[in-house]
Amino acid sequence: MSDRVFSRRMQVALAALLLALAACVARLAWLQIWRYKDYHDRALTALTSEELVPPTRGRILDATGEVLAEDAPSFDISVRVRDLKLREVVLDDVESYYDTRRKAAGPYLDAIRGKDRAVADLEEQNDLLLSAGGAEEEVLRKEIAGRSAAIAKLQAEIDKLAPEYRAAEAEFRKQREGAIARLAAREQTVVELSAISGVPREDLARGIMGALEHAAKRYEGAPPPIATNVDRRCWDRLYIRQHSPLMSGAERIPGVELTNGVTRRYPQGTSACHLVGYVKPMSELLYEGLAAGPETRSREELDGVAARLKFMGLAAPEPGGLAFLNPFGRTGDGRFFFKTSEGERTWLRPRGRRTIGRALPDERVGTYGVEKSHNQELRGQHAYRVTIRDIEGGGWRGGQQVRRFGEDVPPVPPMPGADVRLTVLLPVQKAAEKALAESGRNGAVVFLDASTGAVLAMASHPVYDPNAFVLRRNEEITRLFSDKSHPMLCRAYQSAYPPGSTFKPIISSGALEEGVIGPRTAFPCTGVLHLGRASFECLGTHGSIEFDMAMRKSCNLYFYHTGMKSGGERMARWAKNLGFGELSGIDLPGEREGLMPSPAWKRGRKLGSWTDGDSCNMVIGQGWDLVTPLQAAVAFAAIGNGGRVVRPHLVTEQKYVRRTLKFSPGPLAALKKSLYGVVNEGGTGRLAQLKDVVVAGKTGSAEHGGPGATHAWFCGYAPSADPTVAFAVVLERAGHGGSAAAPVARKVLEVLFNVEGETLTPTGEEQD
Amino acid sequence: MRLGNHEIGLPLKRLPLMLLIAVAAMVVYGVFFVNSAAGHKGLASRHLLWAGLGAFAFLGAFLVDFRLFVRAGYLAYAAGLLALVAVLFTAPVKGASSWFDLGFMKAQPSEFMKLALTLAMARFLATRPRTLKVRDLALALALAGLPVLLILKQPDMGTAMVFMPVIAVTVFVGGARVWHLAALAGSAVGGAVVVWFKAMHDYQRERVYAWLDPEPYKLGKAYQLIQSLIAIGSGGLLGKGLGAGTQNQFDLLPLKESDFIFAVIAEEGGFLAATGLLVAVAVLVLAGTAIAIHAADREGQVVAAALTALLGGQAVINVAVCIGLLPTTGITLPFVSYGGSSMLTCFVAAGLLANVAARPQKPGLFG
Repeated sequence: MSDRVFSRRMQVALAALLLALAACVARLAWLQIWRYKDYHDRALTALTSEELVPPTRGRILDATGEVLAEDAPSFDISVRVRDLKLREVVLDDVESYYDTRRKAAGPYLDAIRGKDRAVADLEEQNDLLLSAGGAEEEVLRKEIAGRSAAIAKLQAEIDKLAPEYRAAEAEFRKQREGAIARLAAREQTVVELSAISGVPREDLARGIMGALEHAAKRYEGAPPPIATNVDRRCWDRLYIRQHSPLMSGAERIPGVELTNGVTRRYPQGTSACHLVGYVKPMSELLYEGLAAGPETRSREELDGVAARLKFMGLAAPEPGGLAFLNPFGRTGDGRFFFKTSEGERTWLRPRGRRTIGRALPDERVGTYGVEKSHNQELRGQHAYRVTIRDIEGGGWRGGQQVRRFGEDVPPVPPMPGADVRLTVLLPVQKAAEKALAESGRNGAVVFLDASTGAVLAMASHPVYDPNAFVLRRNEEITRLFSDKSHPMLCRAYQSAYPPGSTFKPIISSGALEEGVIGPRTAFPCTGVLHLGRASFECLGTHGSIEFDMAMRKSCNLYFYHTGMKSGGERMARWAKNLGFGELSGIDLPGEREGLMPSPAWKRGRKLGSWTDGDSCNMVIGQGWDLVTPLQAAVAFAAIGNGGRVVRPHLVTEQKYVRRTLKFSPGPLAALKKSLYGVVNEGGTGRLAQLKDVVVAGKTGSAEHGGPGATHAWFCGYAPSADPTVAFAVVLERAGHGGSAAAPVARKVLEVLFNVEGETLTPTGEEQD
Repeated sequence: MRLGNHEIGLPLKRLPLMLLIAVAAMVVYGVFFVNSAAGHKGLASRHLLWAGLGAFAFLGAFLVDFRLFVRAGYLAYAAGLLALVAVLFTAPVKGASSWFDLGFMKAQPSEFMKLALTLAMARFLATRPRTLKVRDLALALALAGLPVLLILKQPDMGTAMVFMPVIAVTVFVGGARVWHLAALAGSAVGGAVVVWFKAMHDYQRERVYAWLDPEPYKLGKAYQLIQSLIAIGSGGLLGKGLGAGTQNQFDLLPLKESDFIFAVIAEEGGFLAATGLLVAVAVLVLAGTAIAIHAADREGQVVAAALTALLGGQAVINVAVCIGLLPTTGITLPFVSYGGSSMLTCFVAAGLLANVAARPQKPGLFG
């Protein structure tokens, strides 16, 4: 090959290289000139950090302005994830344990959701069946059979998948705990922080893991603090160490930031705990798998989420934009992990577009009580503080970092939440709690304003301390939820009991009104009533007895006759009119509606047709009927106030009357007179007497099928002539209403009316 | 001064000015931008030190007639092979066994091999007819392939990639037949397919995926690439100013003082400075080509061609990686990146190029 060929080939090689260089220049022009704007924005985004400035949450006050819940400053420790040395390693951990979970959770949760839907369908059709007849009934029955079979099949699948899912879930938790334990044991940041701050290593490691999970899932905004409510002195010491110019740079713990937040404080402790409730950070709710599960969601599921969000006091999600309330999922396009919106504000948005002023709300969400039901008023609005890191000037400054606040983003102060003033009177509430606690029984006390339904006091025993949740006293929380006596349950409206004899005035109100019995109607009491092979007993043998005395002595036989004459259909109607078997509509979450049986209900449950025995059981509150103490208080308020069925409430509202029953003056007076007699004229409720205020009420001792004594009831109103309060007291397994429950009511009434109670000694007449 | 046929000395008159200007320009770029990227870590002065040492290395490579180096080509090659084998037994750093830790610096035998292979190829091709027979071509390829395989074993994709333009240019200008080359290119494509499915590590394949579609990998495999693109793109036409690149100054860009120094240049100096650097590379390549064309003998031709391909190729590959035209691999930008062993190699290569230019030449363009 000649030199000419060599130089030609050399030129070809040169041309190739120059071509490559030209390609590079072209690409540079593309990146730096055509797409400059995009990349400029992205570079800016990388420098922009958004901090949520939380609003103060509104206070919860009692009627006199006493504070039940308020915000207090919290001293927190946070981390900047990108400055954490351990980031890479732990992120790998996070990936792997989420993988474990994702694999097994999907099909299982799908099956569960399918079954839930089928069950809802079935219930709907059961309801339809009650009112259907003839051919229609036939078709419905067939469909119901089909549904039942489908449900059984889905249940079988759930049972099959359950062990797998549980194993995966257990493995997930084990791996996560393992990773946290590794962090706690080895990581220098954790060790140092723990030594200075006094926060246990485990807690810090858990917090760091949470922050890293937040980062791994690419949520918008700053991760939640790794420790909150840190002891002030420890926090100060840490702050000096991190920020003082006197300390050398090398001594700082990298990636650790000292931040201020707010915390919820419940100054009354356990008092009114079931009413006030408590809050939790959104992030914790998410982690608890508010809706952990599979990756893709159907339309109905999204609607379900919307409903759930609404229930929590948050706005509904954007149509089509929601990935589900699921920190582990994503939508079909694979980018969004979590998305919903609050008016104009989108939160939990995936990273990507540059948007200033939006971030993850590490918002405290009410999870129980008024905190939950009035979350929307209490929460206020977050503001965002946008920080843009920039370099001052340029030149030979060797990478000096300067913080400045974004000028293009006007600072918007957070809008504080509104105070919520309850109708509750704290002294009365405390008296109720004290009386309950002194009784030594689990139970509930409800005191309502008899004409408006405003809750004056509502206590349930045992109690819990809501501060345990905000201060994260984890052991205590675990105990609260595993305790057999269910301290988290508010027995006043979340538990339904057989009403026992307190049901007699309820039936009487209708029986008197519709003329089934009159005030002078007499029935013979022989101590026992035989119906076929069954026998129904009375506590005594009262002979021929009239209405007034029957009520006073709580004669069962009298009311058996009343019940049989009235019939199930009418009794159910009367009871439902007074608010039984339906939600009272109180502004608290998780209310139970109890159960009010009727002949139609009995047929629907395939229990046969209604018998006289059913009537006998129902009229003395020992049938299928179950009532909440709140419902009982509402019913007695209606009797006391002349027929207004109120909507009990904690926050004053305009529409508090649900319906007004037309009671004729004569029969109503007879009923009220009999309830007056129960307390004041030698009846079973005499231990409720007060010195200057006339109390009326009815005792009850309800058998409940379980072990132990009967549930003790005492319901009523005061003053008898023109009642201002109505109440219900139930003590579980405490024996007789007259001897156990009536004194509890009296103690509260003493405080409420500021009078002394009559000092009576029990005579043994207070049975039932 | 002469040694046998060979001239030893400082033929200043015949120093190739264009080459020197290009190299000087690149070194100046390096001094400024390495300081901007890593000055606060104290790397700027060390960078200057290495550049100074590089100047001595340049002189060393320039003074002795390059034909003496070519003579020692096989020896150097053998030593390089030995070192490449030995380095495989060192403890991996960041997953690759590529460095000998000498205490004061880390030495990469693959850097030395770049030079050794150039010399050995020159030596080999000089003894063969000007048009390569199949056997000679095969031998040349074997000579080049052996070190590449060893480097891939480390594994160090980047450096292995830098060998490709060197090998391609050497056999091309060394006299391979066109249809041989076509066949080679064909089998290279086939080989690439085989390598993709059989020989590549998963992490290497991931890198390619991350390169083709970086967004899903932006916190993982494509983090560097994305950050580099943001840095470059946000630099715009005129750049953010020296020391004022936010991607650079806030440490969002990994390896910014070495493998990704070009991103810093493009961010702080903008399109103009980045293009200026590419012009310097083009001038270097032009100068190298001219030197090769005007070399008096075959050794000179092959050495100059190979070294031009080495420096130009490495620069282009590095830049192409930074701007996302090639998958991310760890190689330096000649004369610009921080890093001792790379700096020395490049200066020696430039010295040898100047050496070829300084020895008797055919009259021509730069004569």
